[in-house]
Amino acid sequence: MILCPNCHNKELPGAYFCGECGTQLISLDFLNTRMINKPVDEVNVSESGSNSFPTRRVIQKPKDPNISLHLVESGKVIHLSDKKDFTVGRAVEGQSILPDVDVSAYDAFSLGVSRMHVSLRILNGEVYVMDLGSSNGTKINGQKIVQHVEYSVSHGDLITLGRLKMQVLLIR
Amino acid sequence: MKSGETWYEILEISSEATVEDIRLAYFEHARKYHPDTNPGDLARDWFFQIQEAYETLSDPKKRRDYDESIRGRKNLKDSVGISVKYSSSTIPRLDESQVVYVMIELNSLVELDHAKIPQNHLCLVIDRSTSMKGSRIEMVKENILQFIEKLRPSDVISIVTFNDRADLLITPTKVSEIHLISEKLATIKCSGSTELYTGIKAGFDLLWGNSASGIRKQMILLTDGHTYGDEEACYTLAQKLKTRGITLNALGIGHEWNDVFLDHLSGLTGGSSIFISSTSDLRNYVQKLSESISVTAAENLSFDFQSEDGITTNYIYRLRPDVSVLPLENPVPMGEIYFNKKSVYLLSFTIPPVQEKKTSVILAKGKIRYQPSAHSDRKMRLFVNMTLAVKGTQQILNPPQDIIEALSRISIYQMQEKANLDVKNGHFNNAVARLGSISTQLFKIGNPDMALKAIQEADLIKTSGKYSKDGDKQLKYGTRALLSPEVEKRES
Repeated sequence: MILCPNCHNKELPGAYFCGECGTQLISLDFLNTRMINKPVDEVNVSESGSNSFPTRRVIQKPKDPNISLHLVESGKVIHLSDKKDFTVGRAVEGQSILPDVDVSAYDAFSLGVSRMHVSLRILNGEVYVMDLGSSNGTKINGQKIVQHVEYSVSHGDLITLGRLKMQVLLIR
Repeated sequence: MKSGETWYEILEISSEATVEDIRLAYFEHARKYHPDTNPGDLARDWFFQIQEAYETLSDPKKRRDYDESIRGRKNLKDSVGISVKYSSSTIPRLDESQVVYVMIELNSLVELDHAKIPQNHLCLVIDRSTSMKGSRIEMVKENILQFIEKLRPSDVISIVTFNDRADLLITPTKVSEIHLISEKLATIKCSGSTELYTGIKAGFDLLWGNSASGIRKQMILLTDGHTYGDEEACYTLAQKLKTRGITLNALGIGHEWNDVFLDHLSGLTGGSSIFISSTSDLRNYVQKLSESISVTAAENLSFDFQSEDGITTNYIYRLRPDVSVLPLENPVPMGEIYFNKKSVYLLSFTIPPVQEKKTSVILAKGKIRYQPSAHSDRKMRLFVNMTLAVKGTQQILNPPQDIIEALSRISIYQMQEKANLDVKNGHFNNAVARLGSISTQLFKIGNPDMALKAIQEADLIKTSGKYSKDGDKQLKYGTRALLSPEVEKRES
């Protein structure tokens, strides 16, 4: 059995996506993952050993960190737990589907945060950020990221949603 | 010989078959069609043909002579090519069940030959129940006019209208000889209820009555309502359509029609159901249909296969050319193949625990039958053997990227189906949660419009326990359209 890290649904071995919540169960390197916070040549070195074949890694093996988000302006820290996949955005009254992490209390509206702005995903000990098609975009360490592509982030990286700044803290 | 089939075709073997292949094929067919188990003249005739085929082909001298006599026909072999990809190149020995995904790609091996485009007979079966009154029927009329303009002069068209009875509006007529079409369309009056069976039956009689061979026959059903009580009769009729090589495509207008029913009905014939929410949907469909008519390389495809004991087929999706959930019939109707375009299918199998001594697993073995459109009186076969070796005790995950991409989209479509079921069963909180997951996944694959639609519908379900008027169909056909990579490219 494979246990979905997001909703704990059980799937048969061989499945690639959770039938209940759609979370991808297996990590494959060719799937839209980019690194931007490492020098280019270092990335090349780390990839050259694995040829063009996707590396095979089954979920759950490396130790996953706990994520906390440090909101730079207010100094508040939000701890994320229980799940491996979070959406971050701004909750609006009357809306039934809410982001897992609601930042509306931090002036998110005037800072241009979308309702579903980014997703954060923990996989094989790494943390990935993806912009979900937000209106005002997302930056990692000041560099704008492409929408719908996952970027790996490290401890201390600064993520900016619209103009709302938050620092990623990873506790291993 | 039935419809000019060769002895090879009757035994369903290739013309390069070995003596052993011939022997096995003979035993298989003789068993299947033996008069003792199959009463009736048809089976007996068929059995004698099988005997004769075997007698000819099993004798080397007779076979050589026979090959010589059919030399001209052999060029027809294999006008369709196949490639098969697996999510895992070998099967690990696991003591629990596991899933394997297979992608089948079919493509035409011959080029489009304009001289050989077959004549088409399209029968439009149009619902004229009360609810069609006004803008719906006007939209249909307008698009019929445009559609006919796009057909070739030699194509044949016929139109049936129906409510609780069927009326013939236009008898089968060549496009070049059609006159006063708009006047005829103007006479359509909408009243009464929807009884699909009467409409489809009338269309079937027209298509089947036009018995000239070498004509491609298609029925296009336009409806906006539920039919009551005649569903089973419709399914039986659809089976008949299929055996006569007639494809049924069903267009559902508005929000009241029964998508599950029309999906299955059209699926039985290799066709699909299409959701028409606006004039532009219908216009797009008409455009696509008129294009497809001249580019069909092979039609009436069906996949006749058997799996090893214990293996179950979970689903078969057609991803291209038209997205469709194929009915798990045996054989499975697969639709058609266009020139210069692949037809793509995704299959999912569950394999039981692999026993100690097993060295290979037969996922599916059988044949795909088809009619090349340039020779639509001929039936061709393509042999398919999807067998994987058993190796190791660990899963090796190196799936082709297109399988993964297809699966990510299928998972969204299936979550949508589960959400529909949740709403039907009154599990509103589950539906809302699921729509939340759907919207997150849709955001991730870069489809914010549909993601927001899912959120809107979740809001409605939470407050009212219902989708918006056609919200369920919009999500269903919207997420289904994502399965075909082409559609998405056109939209973006």
